[in-house]
Amino acid sequence: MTARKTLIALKNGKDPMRQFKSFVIAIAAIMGMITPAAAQLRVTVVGEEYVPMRIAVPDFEADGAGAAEIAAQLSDVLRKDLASSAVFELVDKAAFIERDLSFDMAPRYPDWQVAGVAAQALIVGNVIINPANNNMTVQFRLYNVFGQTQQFARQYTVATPLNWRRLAHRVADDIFTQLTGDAGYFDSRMVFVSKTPGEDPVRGRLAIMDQDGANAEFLLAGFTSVINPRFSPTDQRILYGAYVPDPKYPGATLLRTYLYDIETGRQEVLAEGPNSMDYSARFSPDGRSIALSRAVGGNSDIYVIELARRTQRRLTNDAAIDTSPSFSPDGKMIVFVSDRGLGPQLYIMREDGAQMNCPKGGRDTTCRITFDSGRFTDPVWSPRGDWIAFSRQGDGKFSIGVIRTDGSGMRILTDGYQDESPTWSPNGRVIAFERTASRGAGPKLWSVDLTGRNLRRMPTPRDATNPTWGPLLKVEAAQQ
Amino acid sequence: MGAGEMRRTQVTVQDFIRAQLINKRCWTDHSDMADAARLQATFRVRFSNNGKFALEPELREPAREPINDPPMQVFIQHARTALQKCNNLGWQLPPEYFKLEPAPYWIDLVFVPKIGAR
Repeated sequence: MTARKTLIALKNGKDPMRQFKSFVIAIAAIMGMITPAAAQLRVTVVGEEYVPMRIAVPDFEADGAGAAEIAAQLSDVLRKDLASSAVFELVDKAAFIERDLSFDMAPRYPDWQVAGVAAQALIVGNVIINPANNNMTVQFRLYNVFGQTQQFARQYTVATPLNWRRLAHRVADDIFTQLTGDAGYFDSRMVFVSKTPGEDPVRGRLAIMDQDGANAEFLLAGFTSVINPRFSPTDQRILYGAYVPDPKYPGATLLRTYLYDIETGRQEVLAEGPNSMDYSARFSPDGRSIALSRAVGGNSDIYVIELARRTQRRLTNDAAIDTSPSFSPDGKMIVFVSDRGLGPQLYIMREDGAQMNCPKGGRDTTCRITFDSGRFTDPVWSPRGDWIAFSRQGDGKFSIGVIRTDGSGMRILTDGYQDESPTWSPNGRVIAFERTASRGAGPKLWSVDLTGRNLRRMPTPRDATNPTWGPLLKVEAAQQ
Repeated sequence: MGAGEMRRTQVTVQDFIRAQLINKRCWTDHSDMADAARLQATFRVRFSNNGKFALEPELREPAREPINDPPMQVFIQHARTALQKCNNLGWQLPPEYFKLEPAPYWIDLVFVPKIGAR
């Protein structure tokens, strides 16, 4: 705007800058560059089909003695993690066009977009082993191929290359989080009861493995009749039951509940009443309390024990069998099984035992949420809080299913000769469980995702029962 | 264009766009995301006659990507990627789209997971 025009505008009592802005807006509107307040047409697009996201994971680069072999192994574990989730579909390495990728250069995006590759995401990484101190650094970048941008980058440094497998899981978790919005679950472990085929079914030893089946090993050499291990949601402690010789009655056994710290090896008897039996113990979300079933004189009720001081609270007081308590992730609610309504069904209650509004109406201290002809067992509240997983026996089958916490939306995810003992992955997207495929077959561990997709066998060295999925492991690496 | 013809053209355009986003697998189901039923993202778009967006799609609802809501952030990102993917493949629009009035013709695309569809 010239000085003369500005002067004229001021004389006319108008703000020249305001006039100029109005002029620009008018021109832009004429050219169709400014979106109107309302569109002329609204189209709702519903994702109909589930399609895994295509992701390309070339082998990481390597720098330093021994780095090449580790980079190849780490890349392989990373690919297997991502593929095992079924959230991702790996692009076949043979289809790659750009083969001279460099960690320090942006990729040639069109090479990853073309038909036949069609990657939505690309991971480029680098493994460096420092010859001075043997430290290992793993760097990676996640690219959004269609957006042609780097979406995320991170690096980890660990004291020794021996930790490469955990770093692979950690990188997989980072990528999973970036691309799904959920925490990952790859850098976690699972405890289960290992069974030797043909042996007495009561016999079983505690074992632990990475979630992908690697590094399986026995825990607690002395105990051979172990049941119902339960991982703490916050650390590496577990609860489990074990049949041990009863000191009062030679030849008889006694069921004891133990608290065991996997990292320190420390173990203690958790609960043992003179005339009672405690079982089905499970941690609260903060790991400070447990809920369990206590049987006295043939009747079982739910109790909560605070671990530091061993204070106890009785939550149910009913002639029926109340068992298998599991906390909601906020610690305020408990789901449990009771046969007070003709056959075992699922009930919820407040952790403080107070009255509550029941989903089906009315107020009570306990509310039934399943009304089904089946027999429900093993309820486990999801770490996300939105679903409860359970085992259901009915129609001649044992199934794993999920139900919303208000009793709506029940879905059966698996059907089998005997599917039971569900346990959630730490991010609440996957359920591991025990499956006996047929009469006489040995039990194995399987997993399925929340939607019923991706049913997979989990590798274990022997037969296995009672899986319990641990939390994400703590990051020991320096991360930048 | 009369009101009846206008309505028929709108339906045709809706079907064309929806079919491409779904059949070309640009937009897929997101029901497995945490609390999926609440997830929804609306982008405003306008097409040019070369089969590409005339301008970059604009996020309208929510108005901004929420910083403290990773599932919603990812959902919005996936919707944006779906638009980019179909844009790379090229949009096929009926010729009637370019006759719709008043031009330019803006369209709001509302992305929802199957579990959230009402």
